[in-house]
Amino acid sequence: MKNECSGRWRAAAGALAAAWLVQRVAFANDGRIEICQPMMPYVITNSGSYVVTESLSVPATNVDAITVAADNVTIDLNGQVLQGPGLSATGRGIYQPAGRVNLVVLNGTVAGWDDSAGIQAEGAGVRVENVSARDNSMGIYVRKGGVIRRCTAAGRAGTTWWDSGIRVDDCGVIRESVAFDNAVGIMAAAGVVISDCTAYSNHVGILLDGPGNIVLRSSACNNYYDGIDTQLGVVEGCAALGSGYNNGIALHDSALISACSARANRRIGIGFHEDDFGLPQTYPHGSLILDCAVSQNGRGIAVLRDSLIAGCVAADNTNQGIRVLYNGSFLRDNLCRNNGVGIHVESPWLSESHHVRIEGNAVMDNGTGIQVDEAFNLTVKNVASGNDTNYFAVDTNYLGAIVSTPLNNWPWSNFEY
Amino acid sequence: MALTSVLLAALAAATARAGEGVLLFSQRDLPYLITNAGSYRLVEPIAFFSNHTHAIEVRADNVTIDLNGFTLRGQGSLTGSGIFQTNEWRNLTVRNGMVVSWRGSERSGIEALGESARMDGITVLSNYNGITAGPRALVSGCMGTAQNRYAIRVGDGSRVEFCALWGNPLDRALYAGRGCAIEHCAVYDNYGGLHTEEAGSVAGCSVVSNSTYGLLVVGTGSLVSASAVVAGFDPGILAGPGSTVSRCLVYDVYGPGIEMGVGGTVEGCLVRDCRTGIVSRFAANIRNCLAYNNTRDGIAVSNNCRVAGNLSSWNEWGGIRADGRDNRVDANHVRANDTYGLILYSPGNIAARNSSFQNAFACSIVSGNTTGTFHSFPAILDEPWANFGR
Repeated sequence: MKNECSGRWRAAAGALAAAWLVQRVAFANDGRIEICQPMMPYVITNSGSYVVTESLSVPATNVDAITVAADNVTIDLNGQVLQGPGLSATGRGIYQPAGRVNLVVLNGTVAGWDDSAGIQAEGAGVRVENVSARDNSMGIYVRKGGVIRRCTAAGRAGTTWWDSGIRVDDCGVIRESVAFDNAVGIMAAAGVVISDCTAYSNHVGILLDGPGNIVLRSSACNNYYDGIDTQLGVVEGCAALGSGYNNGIALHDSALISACSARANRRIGIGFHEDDFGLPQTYPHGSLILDCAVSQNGRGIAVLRDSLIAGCVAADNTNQGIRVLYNGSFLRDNLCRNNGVGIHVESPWLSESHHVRIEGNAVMDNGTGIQVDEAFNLTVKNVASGNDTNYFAVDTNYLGAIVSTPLNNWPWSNFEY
Repeated sequence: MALTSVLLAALAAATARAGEGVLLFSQRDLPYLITNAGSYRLVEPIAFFSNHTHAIEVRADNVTIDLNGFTLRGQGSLTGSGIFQTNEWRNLTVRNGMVVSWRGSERSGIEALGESARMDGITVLSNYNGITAGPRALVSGCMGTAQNRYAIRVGDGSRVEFCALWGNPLDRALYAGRGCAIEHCAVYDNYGGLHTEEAGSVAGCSVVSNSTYGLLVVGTGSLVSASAVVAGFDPGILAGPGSTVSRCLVYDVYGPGIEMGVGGTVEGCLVRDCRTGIVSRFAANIRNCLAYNNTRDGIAVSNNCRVAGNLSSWNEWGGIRADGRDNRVDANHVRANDTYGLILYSPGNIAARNSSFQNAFACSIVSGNTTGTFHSFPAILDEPWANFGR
């Protein structure tokens, strides 16, 4: 396929330097259209398969380097760099306008699109593999229908809130990728599956901004605000470590969290956002938290009304291992050790924490094992040992007798020893 | 210039068969019949306009076709398939390209009916079916939109992973035969969602905003885990007899959230804002689930079911309802439901160790059931099977 790149080679080659030409023609011979520096900025208007033959740059700050104004286009960056002008660049490295479909970008680096995106696809159907995005406001952004695999996105500190290392709005798969130093490491709006990813040192590690997103087997570490931010989604088998300001896994609405670990996060391991007074700032009623481990956080798990927490371990958290606000949650078969309070049902400013069922939990070596500040909560069959105070409950609670030896005739007793 | 062109062509021809041992093909080879095992690479976009004829037909085992980022385009209606292999042959791999506008009736962009086909990094757009693969296929990292019927359809024992399918307006986006594994796929805004036949495994899939015709449907003896179903008209997850649905979220579905067949298990699921949250007719085990804010009952069972350790709250009908007999309703927490916390409409059930608070009424239990007495205070209560409520 002739274009400026191959024409340049032929001119340079003069009259047939045969060995050199064999090499060049062989490369051209796989039929892909070459993209080289003299073509910059380049608008693709025909579907086809394109390969970058040398590192590319665009000096102007407001120009897109490659605009994909055609459907069904593959761009192989071929290990090369698509370099933006750096500071104040508003152009994009690769840009697919709205209304276009099917773009594939492979094997290279997009860097230095400072106030814009390395790859921005406003159309649909975009696959990006083996791409490193560096020093952009947004690394890789796909509006709808994306498969992102084995990519890295390293952003710039101080970018605006919605700038993401990797972002797919609706319907996508993000796998085996790494995002660090972005405002948001990985972001999904709705219907996106994120698996085997790492989000490190972002403002928010992974942000799920709508319903039906899933995060599996991923790690969110040393992010400033939240590790994983979710609503109406599924988070399974993930680790959230060291969020400097807020939560390891933050709940904005109902969510299903299972088999996760949250450790050393400033406010809460898994739970709602709270302010400096401990009052909720988000309202995730009806959350399900199963088989998670939370340790060394400000609080381990914190939920609002009608949540089910079972099979979790909360250890070494500064305040509560499990904190419950408002009515109706069900806490069963959890283990809380060495927290300020093992399990705490409280209502910090309204008397609305009733009808919580606390059953079959083990609390040990906490300041207080189980503390119930409000009336009409059912506390039965728990075991407490080594706490400064094993049980504290206000009057008018449905509290099983507290005994130190099992009694056959009091089957709902709580034990202490 | 002419000499240069001649040399280029000669070198091209030589390279087509030498190089990496890959055979190159192009538009001029169409319709292309592959009869020898080997590796083939497309070197330009193909547009093939011929009624009812396949662009590429593979009559050999062990063939790899690298679309090389190019598009294989049909004429729209009356086409054959873009790539076709009958079930006499096997081990066809197609990778890295787009397959568009093969809309002949019952044809596909890629129709690989032989055993052990492998599709990797393929985008299918506006075909009758996108990818149709035979048994024991592997489909990975593919995308599909705007098909007449299925975006991806695979035979028994296949695996589909890391695919994104959206905007297929007339049928289910993904249909898999028996014993298939579907993992980490996103199925969004189609007519129907994801369907597997018996003994399927669906894990880590997101099924969102599909209108009807089954959102996530699995046949007998299947497993669904760590998946999310959001918005639509049918049951969110419809599971055949003997299936297990575990750690799934279903939200905002007009039908039941999870409808379980005979002898299945629903475990650790969150079902919210559906019609009835979780429904089973016969012999299901429903445990550790949260049914919240559904427009009918939170959990409804008919006969021989075990409902244990669940939280059912803020539903517009009852918390837990059993219509038939021989159900065990044990150690659940039901709260703030608009009618009754517990409902046993027929005799012959057991309800014990449940707690029912702040419902319009704690329970509605017809005579002939075995229930623990309802108490408020467990302090020194000597009834191990008591229920609690007020």
